[in-house]
Order: sequence, then structure tokens, then C-alpha cells
Amino acid sequence: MAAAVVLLLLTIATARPLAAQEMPRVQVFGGYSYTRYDTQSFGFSNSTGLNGYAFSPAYNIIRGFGVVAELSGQYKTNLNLRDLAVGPQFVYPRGNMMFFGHLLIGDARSLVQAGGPQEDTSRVVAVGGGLDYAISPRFAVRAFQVDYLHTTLFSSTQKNFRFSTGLVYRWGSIKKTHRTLAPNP
Amino acid sequence: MILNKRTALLGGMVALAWLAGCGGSGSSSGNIPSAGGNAYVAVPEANAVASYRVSSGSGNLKAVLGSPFSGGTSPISIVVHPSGKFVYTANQGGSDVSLFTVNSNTGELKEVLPRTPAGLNPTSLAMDSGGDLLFVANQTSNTVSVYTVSSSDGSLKESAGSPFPTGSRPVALALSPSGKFLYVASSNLPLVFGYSVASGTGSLLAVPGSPFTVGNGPSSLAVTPSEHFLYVTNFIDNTVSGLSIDSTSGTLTAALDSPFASGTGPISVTVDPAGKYLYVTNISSNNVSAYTIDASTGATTALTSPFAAGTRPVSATLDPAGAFLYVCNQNSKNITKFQINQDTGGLPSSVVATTLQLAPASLVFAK
Repeated sequence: MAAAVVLLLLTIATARPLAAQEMPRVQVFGGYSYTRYDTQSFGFSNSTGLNGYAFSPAYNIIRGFGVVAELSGQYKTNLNLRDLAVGPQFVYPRGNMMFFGHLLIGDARSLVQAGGPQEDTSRVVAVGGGLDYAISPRFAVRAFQVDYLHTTLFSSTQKNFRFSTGLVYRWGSIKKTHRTLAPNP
Repeated sequence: MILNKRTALLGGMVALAWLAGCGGSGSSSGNIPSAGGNAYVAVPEANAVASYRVSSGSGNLKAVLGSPFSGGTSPISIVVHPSGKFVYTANQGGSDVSLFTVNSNTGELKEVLPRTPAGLNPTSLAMDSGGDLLFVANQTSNTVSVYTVSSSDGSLKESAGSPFPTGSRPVALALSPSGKFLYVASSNLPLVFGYSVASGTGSLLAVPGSPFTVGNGPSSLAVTPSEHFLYVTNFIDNTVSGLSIDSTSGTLTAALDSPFASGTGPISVTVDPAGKYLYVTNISSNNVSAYTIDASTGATTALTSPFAAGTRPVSATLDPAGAFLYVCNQNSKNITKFQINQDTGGLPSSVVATTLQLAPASLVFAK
């Protein structure tokens, strides 16, 4: 984990600046995710940390607004949490940085080994955001993405938190349009 | 400017006063919060043990995921090792004792096989405060089995001389808090048998004068924390016998004003951790009778009671803090939680703490 953070910081520090005002049409993120699963809600003595992956393609319809889908899974011995969700995303570019926020709705599924395998599915609502840092015209580093995930698994309500980081592949662009004054007749 | 400062000061004083008045749950005078922890319930019809987390403060019960956990045939009595790592049940149907290990993280219980043989139809368990000895009353074989307990894995080894013969149809056991004396209720006879317990092995030796006369149909026993008094519910007579315990010999003598009236069908008795209050569960009248205890004479005074429980309450247990009384209701298949007023011993309010699919028999808390 520490090595990944150092590599991320080095990548950002040596990145070549991009032209300002550009926003990608399509983004595909893939990387590592860590979830603080609210297992206390169904009888564990504490919340449980799970490690896994996150994958999310996004399509920006207009500058600053698009749609995103997410597939993620986090695991531990005898325990996992997976979700598939979609929703709007809001994007704010600033130089090489791109801030984003999203609201996702979908399904979550969890398997717990307790007195035999216990599996359940529930609706998931995820609210979160983060920061991408462009390192080339096609690639950006997702410095961080944090999400709050609300689930209702095993007849209980969970308040889960997730952190993700990784690489974003981007293509297409939505240029910022500039107003021009009409010439004097 | 001056007006703003005064307003701010007044607002701050009001806020401070409000904060000072906040007393957590806003409970009424005399109530104390639950310490939380874990609780376990024997469910005979499910051949299983249910595991719960106890909310600190409210004392509410929440079943852990996967509960109930399978065990022996018809578990009727349950105890927890003082370490909280092991749970034991007396299995009436299997004539054996089950050992469960406790997963402290998930709350899951896992039975360790094979089970330990006991006498025929074991009905009651008692464990000493150190978790070194386990006692089992065997109702059909008229014996008491004694086991030493391994602190590392909770396994049981029958002591030399066990099982020890006792009265006819022993249905209940009570061990004095020091572990020096064991008392056994013989349901067929109006008698309580008393034994001194040998340190280490747990071998039983009848105390002078044993057995001791009580009412008809003794069904349950409880020793006060001071070890001065023993109380016995007499199911047939609808009374409770109070007896003084000789601290040296363990001999019992009738306490002042004993026996005293209970509800109909007294089946379970328990004393609060401070030794001030006594609670009797009455299975036929579906309620709980409450009494204060005179610390010097053992005489009891009935409180304005009884307090309504569920249908056919079969057992009552106090949480370790003495904040709540939990009653297992056989026919209504639930557990009633009574708030205890620490000043009076009364039970001012009650709620259903949890509902089960099958009848609960007994509940125990891990300390």
C-alpha cells in the first residue's frame, strides 16, 4: 500500500502538463479499492476492512456532466461485498486536475460464512467523488475516490465507506466553447 | 454590540444548561444502562443455541448473523465460561453436554464434537466463578455429574467419583459464589440436598443435616451474592422458601418469614447482583413477582407486583449490571426485557427484547 502511494506521488510530480480546457468524452477507470464494511450492523464486534478492485466506465454527455457505471468487489476470508451501480457524474476540470462527483444506484451482494454460508442482495446507493490527475493525453491517475455506500443486507442497514485509486484511460474530448463578439457592421 | 454580547452569553448559558441536563438516554430516576456484551439462549425445539449482541445502554438484543447455531438434542440449560470463550448446554434429549467455541468477532458459535456424556435427562448446569468445574443435574438418573474444565480448549473431563447420587428427580442446581457449596432441588420430594465441593476435583460431600426441608415441588434455586441466603421456588405450593446458609458447614436453616407467597407456578428465581432484590417467574400466572431482601435476616417483602410477562414464562436472568431482567416466554416464543428500578427493585417498564421462531428455554450473559 505504501509503495503504491509513493509511486502515485512520483507519477503526479513528473507528469507532463496537458492543454487546459479539455475534457475527455470517455473515461475508463480500473484500480484498487478498500472498503470499510459495516459488519457490526449484523452482529460482528467491529467493522471489517476488505480489499479488492473497482472498475468504472464513464461517458461525458456534455462538458461537466455524464453517466458512469461501476463494478467493484472487496474480499476477505469468509466475507465479501460486491456491487454494480450506475448514475450521473459531475466533472470539473482544472488544469491537469479533474474533480468529479457521482451518485450511483444499483445492487449489492454479500457472502458471509457464519454458521454456514449466508448470502444476501440489496439495493446500494453510493455517493462520492474524487480527483483525477492527467499524466498524458490518454492517461490519468485517479489520486483518490471516496464513496459512502448505503446497503440493507441481512435485515440490517450498513453505512460503508470505500476508497479507490488507480489508472484512468481517456479518449475523445469535449472542448470548451468560447463566446465571440459579433463584428461591428 | 452590548446587546449582541448579552444575547450570546445568555445563549451560551442556556446551551450549557441543556447539555448538563442531557443524561444519555433520558432514563427515569433509579435506572442504569446495560453494560452490553453477548447473550446466548437455549432453544430446545431447534436443537440450537441463539447468539445475540447486547446493546450497551438500552440492553436490546440483536441476533448475530447465522444464529441460531446447531447443537445437541433439546438443550435446556446453558452456561458461559467466565472467559467468554466457551458455552455449554445440557441436552435433555441426548443425555449429554455440548461445548461451543465462541468467535469473538462474528459472535458465531461452533460446536466441538464429540459431545460429553452426562446422566439421563440432564436439566440444569452450574459453573464455578473460575470456570474450572461444571456441575450437571441428571433428572432421570438422580445424579449430579461433575467435570473439570480445560481453560485452553474448554473440554470436559469427568471427576473421580462422578456421577454423585442425589435426591429423586433433581431439576435445579445452585452453586454458592465462592464455589464451596452446591445445592440441588429434588422435584419429587420437598427437599434440597446440600454438598460441600472439594477444591480442584469438585467431589461432592453432603453437608451436615442434608437434605433440608422446603415446600412441595422445588423447581429452582438461587444463592445471594453474600452467600448468606438460599431461595427455593416451590412449584406445587406456590411459595418460595428462604434459608440461611452456614458459611462454615453449608447447613441450611429456615430464614425469617419463610416460606412466602409467590404467583401461580413459581418456576424460576434469581437475585440481583447487589443481593437486594429477588425475582420469581410464575409460569401459570404469566408474571414476575418482585421482593426486597433483608440483608440481615433474609426475610423478603413483596413489592407492588406481579409484573406481566409473556405466555408461560419459564426462566428469568439478570444482566451482569443488574440493569434489566430478561424473561424467556415459552408459548409466546419471545423474551421480555424489564427495566429495573435500582432504588426500589420494581419493574417499571417492559418491552419484547426479541422474538424467536421456537420457544426459548434459558438465557445467559457473557460477563
